[in-house]
Amino acid sequence: MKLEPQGDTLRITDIAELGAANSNVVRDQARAALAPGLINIEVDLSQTSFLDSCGLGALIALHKTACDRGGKVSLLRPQSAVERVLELTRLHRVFKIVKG
Amino acid sequence: MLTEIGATRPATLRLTVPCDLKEVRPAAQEIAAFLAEQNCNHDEMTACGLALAEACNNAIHHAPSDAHSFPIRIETQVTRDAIEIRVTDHTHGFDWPKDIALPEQGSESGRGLFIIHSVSDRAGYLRGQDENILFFRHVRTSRPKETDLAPRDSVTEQLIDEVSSCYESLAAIFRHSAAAHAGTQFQAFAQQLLNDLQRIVKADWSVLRLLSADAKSLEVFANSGADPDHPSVILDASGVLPQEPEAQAASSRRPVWFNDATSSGLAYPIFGSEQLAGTLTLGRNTKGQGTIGSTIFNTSQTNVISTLADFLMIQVERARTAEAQLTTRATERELEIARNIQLSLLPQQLPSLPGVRMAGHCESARQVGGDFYDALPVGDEATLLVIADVMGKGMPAALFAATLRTALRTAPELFRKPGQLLARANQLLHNELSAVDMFITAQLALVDVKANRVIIASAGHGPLLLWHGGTTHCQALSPEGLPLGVRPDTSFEEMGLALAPQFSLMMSTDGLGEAKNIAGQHFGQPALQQWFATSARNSDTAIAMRESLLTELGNFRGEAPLADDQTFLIAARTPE
Repeated sequence: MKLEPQGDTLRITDIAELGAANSNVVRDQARAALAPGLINIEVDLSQTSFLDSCGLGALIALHKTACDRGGKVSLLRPQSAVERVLELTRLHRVFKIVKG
Repeated sequence: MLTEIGATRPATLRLTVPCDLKEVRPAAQEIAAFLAEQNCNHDEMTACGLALAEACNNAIHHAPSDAHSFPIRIETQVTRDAIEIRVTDHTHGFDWPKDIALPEQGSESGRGLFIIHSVSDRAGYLRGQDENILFFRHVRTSRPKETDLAPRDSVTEQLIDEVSSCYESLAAIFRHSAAAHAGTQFQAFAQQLLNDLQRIVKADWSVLRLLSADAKSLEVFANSGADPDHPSVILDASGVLPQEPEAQAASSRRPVWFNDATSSGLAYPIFGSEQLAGTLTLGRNTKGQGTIGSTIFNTSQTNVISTLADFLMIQVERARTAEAQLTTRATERELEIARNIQLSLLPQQLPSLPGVRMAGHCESARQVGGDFYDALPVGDEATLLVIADVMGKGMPAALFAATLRTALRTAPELFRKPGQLLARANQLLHNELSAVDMFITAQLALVDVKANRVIIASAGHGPLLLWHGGTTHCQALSPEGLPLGVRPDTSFEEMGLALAPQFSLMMSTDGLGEAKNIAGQHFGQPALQQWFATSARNSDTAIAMRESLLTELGNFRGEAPLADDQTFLIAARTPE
């Protein structure tokens, strides 16, 4: 997983899977990397082949953190299986999902 | 490992996995490879992999600390018709809920069972003495002997779906953009956009509501679909959480999903330059079909809705700006016309009367009113002076002023009987004036230098000021008479007075006495009379008096804007 600030946005890339095994780590590292001034979080899901309920929990936790700062979480290019999980749990209504 | 599939003997894979979250995915991948060997398709493998992960996570999360040394057993069985997976845990167990619902959107946990339930055709939990079994079954859609083309097919299908929805969205935007530039009425344009959007996202109905002028409600602007009766939505500022999804979307500035008895859908707030412009709502009629696991609009459709809502917002802004400009232009044009009418009512030059000089002034406030003055020769040695003030502003006031002027000018036989002349004008104008709740105050003064008399009549107008040479004070004369337009038949007193060899006379509208300074104080009738007496005693000519009064009023007003029309007419006979 890579974390890099871009303007007012923290970009998270290279997540192979987001599940029970690593969701807490992803959440905690992302929060730690949120320097003052970073309000939005972009999670690049193009390399993410798997997402489960624990991964969703981490994304929601980050969503709350971003909202507290007046920002939002965007999920970039989710693979179809991951997108299906988001839709199934109605969380595509919560996150901004950027496709393509 | 058994890999043969028979009608009666399933292919089975049994794994034991340590009670550790890190071991779950490798086990899941092993099972996925097994499913692939059985020609299960991509969707089946994905669904089972997800449900398996959730089941294992559950088993590990809820294992008591002394049970972590016990491994989890996973048994996978594949037949021609179904995949069934059983996960054995050593937790204290739980009761499988009757209805499995999603937790609140903000909850960070509690979706595992919902996911298992949603991706499976059957799922359940068997509680035992020391161990429990969570099972789920997935009915196969793939044919066991087919070559493994299924994954590619499903990917291609999704791609086509994605591309076609983008195409539809873009085509709709281009089409509507062209229509907007072609000057289509905005409402028809919005209607067409709703029709298209509804078709693209497969909604059953859609409503566009725009914020009312007082910003207190969302009024239906356009709608599409079976049910045409959509109510407007009141925006409650009391702080109570609003019920309607549109009100929630407006206050939270976020899209709000709803699911009520008859339909479910999305209310999308439309914001332009930080201000709420309206809401866009799309829904599907569910009538009990809104079951768990189904989605109302998928990601592609949600994106199309938000794209078109943003586009719509730009168009709403554009339409409103254009409308505002048009209104401003129309108002300015109307004011200009009214001002021109008012100017055209004033005499080009005042008639000459032996020994008497006259001067008039009429200045419009920004909101043009209906003030005017006139002076009509009556033979060689008399003049009828007229001043009038139409109550009201703008075009209607200017038009009534023009009508009154004509009504007076076309009755020269009554010039020497100003009271009767006012009665005639009242008869002519009463119906039109009372129909629009307007009235006119007017004053007539026949100055006859041969008879050395003045005959005054007034229709509710302020006093005429008359100064006789050799006196220190002026008279304020107000003969009886109602304003024009109040009663159909009314008579007007005629007041006749002798004129001294030296005299000054002034008629004015109430804009003079009511002139305000920056502190909001009125110039006032007493100040006006005092100025008049002083100026007249100085033997000022009518023109000198006009200039003096304008200076006086200008000094008083200072920087304050002209609040009302200021009109006056002065006639004076001064020693040669």
